[in-house]
Amino acid sequence: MARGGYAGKILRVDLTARELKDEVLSPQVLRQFVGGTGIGARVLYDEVPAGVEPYDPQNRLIFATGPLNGTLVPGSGTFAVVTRSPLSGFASAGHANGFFGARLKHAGYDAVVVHGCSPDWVYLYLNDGRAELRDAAWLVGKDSWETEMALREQHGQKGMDIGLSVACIGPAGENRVRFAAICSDRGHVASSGGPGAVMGSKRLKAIVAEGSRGIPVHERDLARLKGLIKGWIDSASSSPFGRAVSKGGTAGFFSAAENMGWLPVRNLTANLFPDHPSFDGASLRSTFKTKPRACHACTFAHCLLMQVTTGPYKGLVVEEPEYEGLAAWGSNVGIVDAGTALMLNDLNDRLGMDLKEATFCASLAMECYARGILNPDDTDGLDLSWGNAGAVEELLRRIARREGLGGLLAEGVMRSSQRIGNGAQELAVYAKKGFAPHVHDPRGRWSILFGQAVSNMGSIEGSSLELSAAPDLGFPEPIPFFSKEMVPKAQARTGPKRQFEDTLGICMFLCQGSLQGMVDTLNAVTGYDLDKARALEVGERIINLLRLFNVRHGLTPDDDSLSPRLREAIPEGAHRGRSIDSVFEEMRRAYYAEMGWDPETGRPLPQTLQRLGLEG
Amino acid sequence: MKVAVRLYAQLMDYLPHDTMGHPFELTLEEGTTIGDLLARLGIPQEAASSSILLVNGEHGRPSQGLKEGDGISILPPICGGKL
Ligand code: SF4
Repeated sequence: MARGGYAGKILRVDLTARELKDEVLSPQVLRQFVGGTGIGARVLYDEVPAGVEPYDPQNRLIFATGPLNGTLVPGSGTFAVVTRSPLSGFASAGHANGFFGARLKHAGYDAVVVHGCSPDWVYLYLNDGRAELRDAAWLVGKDSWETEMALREQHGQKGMDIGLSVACIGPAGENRVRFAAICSDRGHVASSGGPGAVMGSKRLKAIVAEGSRGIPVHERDLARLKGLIKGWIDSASSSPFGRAVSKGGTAGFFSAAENMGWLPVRNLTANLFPDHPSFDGASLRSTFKTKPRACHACTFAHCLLMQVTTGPYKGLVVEEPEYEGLAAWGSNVGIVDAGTALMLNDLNDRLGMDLKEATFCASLAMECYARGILNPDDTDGLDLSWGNAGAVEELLRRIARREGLGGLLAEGVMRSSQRIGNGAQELAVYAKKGFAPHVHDPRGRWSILFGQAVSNMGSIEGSSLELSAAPDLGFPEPIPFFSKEMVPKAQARTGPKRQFEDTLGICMFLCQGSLQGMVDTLNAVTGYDLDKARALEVGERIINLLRLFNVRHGLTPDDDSLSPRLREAIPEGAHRGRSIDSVFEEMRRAYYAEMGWDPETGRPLPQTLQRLGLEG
Repeated sequence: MKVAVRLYAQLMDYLPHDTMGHPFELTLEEGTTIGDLLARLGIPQEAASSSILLVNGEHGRPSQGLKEGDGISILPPICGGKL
């Protein structure tokens, strides 16, 4: 049994009956699944049987923290949201950094499990071990930032970041845009799989968390604990990747992405983007004004507020986008002004939508427009030519309101392409389960492409190893590019580590240090006695349980696949002509075998489940 | 021989002039290795040994000899699944 790390209870919210109940998770579940996505996966598997559709009141929406949340560990404000996704009908797990994960613990809860559907809009208020539902009719229609600021004011906190945290939906969630996100701490977004749409379907507008409860810690020797944390975090922040992200943000790799052929350009119809230098972190951070804005206890502090100083949006102050946000609202929609991309990224967050799905929906519509598959009648007059920022802005608003073409695109990339027809399905960018990929041209990096295809949770389960080694996992050197042998192996072996990391409640950027350091810190906080192998087993257990959930909801190998566009050859640039198409099925079989799954069906074998302590 | 070099992220500090995101050309003596090139750019050993070295889009090693027309990219490792 854990002797530290946990608040000790979870909150169960039945919105239909307006009933709130504290529960205690069994020590065995905590030990097997630790926290975060792990707890979410366990609850989802146990409580969402076949036949419970994503918008069914019986679907669960699980907000889960981990044992390090809210402790002195830097970056321990991250939380997970797990549900049955309205985009795919399979499991999804999204994560957001910031403060909310820490404040949920300080408010006294390890997790909140929501089911039912409220007759009226409500928000959930958590404070020092107490919970209540309050009226949210006055918040309906407000965007995610307005909602957060209104609730902060309501609870006596002006300004940002201090005292309390809000996780909420914007208009997209209210209107059940299938890829609606849950936004917290202004600019931190849990979005994969559309958990905001499930939240909206339950008429839960927000959760407010505050409190001053401490987190019990097993290790009595505080100096030892601090030493462990320091050793581990120093190894993360002094790593070359850590230094790169701290210095230039993830945008610091924008030019590299372009030069190396994995920047998404105009819905993957092109691969070159000559304007890339002005989007690169080094240029952004020297051209625009910045002000640091770190998450809970984060010493790494890669997050910034950024003020646009040139171009049509001069003066605008927003969160600095990650690389994916810049790619989404720059190259992928043909926009060449970085300030405009900042504006659109901010708008998308305010409306409360998943970036991946939103950009590949917009770029699908734009490519259809360029090819005459959609005409001005279909777009209600919007000129969706590449690079038309005003039209993209209006399109995003219409998606969030489900208005006209926006209503169609609100169904996500896969469904909208089917409804548009006339060849649109050949152009659409999605993994077959129904999720748009991370905002790359993943055809230029097979780990990402393949990882996206086989993932059980919307986002990628593992890591890509073409540009980093993983000695802890038996990869002393980066793997070759486009290797049909190494990519499946790397996905199978990195998945358990990433999933273990996501049980802890800390930002992934701080997980770049040593695995041993992470395990030692977890043990010191909780009193567990995990070693590296058992830590990896936790991650593997989560992947297998999510796979069982997906099989229950109809998963076949065909769902572990890619849309036609993602199987096409890259049209130009560094990897012109490269395609995964002819080797994909072979790679998938190899991956299944590596995972201990049936190579033909992709289902976990009985001996694999037994080894992991999961029922068949 | 002439080669084209690109540096990314914090390694841009070693750019001989502002060529952000674009290749710059260097003329090297025959027999120059990637290791020699790193030294010539002034990239300290520690940063060099942890960097990703690519020659014409494939992983390279410090001992590898360069040849006319090669394109060399040097960048910090990129970790995680999403980036
Ligand atoms: S590294 Fe960035 S995202 Fe992660 S906790 Fe720190 S400031 Fe937040």
